[in-house]
Amino acid sequence: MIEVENLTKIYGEGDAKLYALNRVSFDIKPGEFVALMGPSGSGKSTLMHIMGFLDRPSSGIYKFEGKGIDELSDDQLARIRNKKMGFVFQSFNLLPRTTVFDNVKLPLTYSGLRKREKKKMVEEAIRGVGLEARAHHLPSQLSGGEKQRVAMARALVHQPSVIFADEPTGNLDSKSGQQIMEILQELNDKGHTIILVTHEKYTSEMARRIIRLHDGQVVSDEIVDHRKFARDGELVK
Amino acid sequence: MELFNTLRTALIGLRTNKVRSVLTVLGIVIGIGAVILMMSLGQGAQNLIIGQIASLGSNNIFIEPGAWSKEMEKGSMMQSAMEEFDIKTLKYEDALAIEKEPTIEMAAPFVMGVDRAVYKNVSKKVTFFGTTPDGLEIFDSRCVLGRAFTEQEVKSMARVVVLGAKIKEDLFGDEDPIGKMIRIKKTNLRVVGMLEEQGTQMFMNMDDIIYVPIVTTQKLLLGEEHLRWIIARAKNERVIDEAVYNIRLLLRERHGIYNPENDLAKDDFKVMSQQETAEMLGAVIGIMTVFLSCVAAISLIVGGIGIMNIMLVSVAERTHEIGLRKAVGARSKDILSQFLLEAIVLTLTGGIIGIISGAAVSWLASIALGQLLQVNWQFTISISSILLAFAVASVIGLTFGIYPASKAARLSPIEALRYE
Repeated sequence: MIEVENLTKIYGEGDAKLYALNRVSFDIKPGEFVALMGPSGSGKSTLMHIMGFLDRPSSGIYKFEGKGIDELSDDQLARIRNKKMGFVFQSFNLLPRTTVFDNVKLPLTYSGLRKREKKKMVEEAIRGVGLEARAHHLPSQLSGGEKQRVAMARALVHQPSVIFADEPTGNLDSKSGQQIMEILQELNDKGHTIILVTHEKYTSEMARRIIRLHDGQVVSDEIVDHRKFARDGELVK
Repeated sequence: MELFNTLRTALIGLRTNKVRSVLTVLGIVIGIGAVILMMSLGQGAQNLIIGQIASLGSNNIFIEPGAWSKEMEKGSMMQSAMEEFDIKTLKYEDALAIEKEPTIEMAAPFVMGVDRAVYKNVSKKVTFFGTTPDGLEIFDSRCVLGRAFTEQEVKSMARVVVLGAKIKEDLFGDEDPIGKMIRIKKTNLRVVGMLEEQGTQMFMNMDDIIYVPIVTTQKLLLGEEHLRWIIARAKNERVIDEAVYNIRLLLRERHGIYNPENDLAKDDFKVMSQQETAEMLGAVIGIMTVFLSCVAAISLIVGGIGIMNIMLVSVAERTHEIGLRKAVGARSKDILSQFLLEAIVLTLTGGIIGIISGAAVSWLASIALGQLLQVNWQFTISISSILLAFAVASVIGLTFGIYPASKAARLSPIEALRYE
């Protein structure tokens, strides 16, 4: 599903040249739950952005479902993001002064679906994260955990094949973080591929596979032996 | 469907910034309103002029002293009108000769003066016309009391006078004026008639005028030989052009002007049909209207710059939102149309409010002008000016919206998302 080969991302030029990613290679198959781990500056967010078609690599090959990023125009990338990808960010990135319902609907705005269909999908997604009662609230009226659940609903409203989560629990208390991880694990059980960027060990152990990065290079890539489950309440900070 | 969605997104964007949107729209409202007002007033003025001239009937031909000059065509009418007062080329005999032309039904000579009229101890400044009975007929001035003076009275230099309705009111009140004597310039004149109320014609309040036989006026009141103007009436509409031509030939012959090339600048008189007069005055007003509308249009450009300014602020402020929208699948074109539509919605809203308020102010102005000038100023607002205002508003929205919108559309999703 995802092929990464010798992927390199360079910022700056000459002496100021900085390798955010340096010849990174790996594959991800459908249905996997991968944690990208590493300290800040290790390149994990940059990697996620390239995998999410939000950024382009400096060199190397990145293929999503067999299609290379170099073969696709910006509009085609936007279309793939719209149909196949969902994003969850550390800072929620909800539109202020816009209701929960409309925030969740945002990806569908660009989908060309019928109004009734959209409404059904939005309601389903909101139910999926347990926020039915909050559907017509504004983000400012929600707690941090609730905001992130709205962002989760937005990421899964269009049933994407892969969900990218960039430090989704980073700004949350442990209980809220646990709820988010629980939703991610449930989604993975339903067949969605999850790519989680984190620097927390206990969060990464909820994935099935951990890819560790350091200074833009892959230092280890292994399967999680004793996988943890958020529903067991094992997330303790 | 897609457009509707984008429009909805744009509207939500504007609604979340109400005060700012309203203030931005205000610039466009004022600009469009001013253009509508100017065009409406210009149109009203033009209608008024045409109406005033048409009020005399369409077969009239105006003959004035002085040559046709380039300045007149350029519009310095007032100046040439002032100069004409000193030109003494037109004589009573010219009018009599014109009247003998086969295409002419009648020709009335006019002189004019302003002085105090006194009855007993009441005195009032009046405008007096010296003319013949035909002059009263041309101005459609009919007597409700007494009678007009006669041809005989003109020839015999009779000291008689016909009063306009308002002058009778001011000098005599309820008293019957017929047979009473009023005094102008130490000359006693006997009132023989009083006119019905007429209102304004040819920009003169006909109720504020008195008519005196022309010879009496020339010899006793003014002491001058020449005429201010002659108004001739053609027998029918079809012979107007022929009549104008014949009058020119006749006057050249009488004034000894050799002008076979028909160069109007060589003549010492001007002959204009009523239609030409209306067209000329209309053209002057037209130029004024265009000029004033241009001034108003400048405020529209200022309004447009306001729109651009606000849209740029809005794009900068919503960089994060743009990044997010792109992340979830908005194409550059979606972002472009969202911001462009916001700009167009702003200007069109401003345009609609501007048209309505401009029309409202024009309506009030037409009433005020009507009161002030004592004329029947018609409120007019043309479809073309409304369409123009709409078009201008849309063009401004597009022009001043395109730069901020394309700036927004060009943002890279990840840079926009990182923007703090």
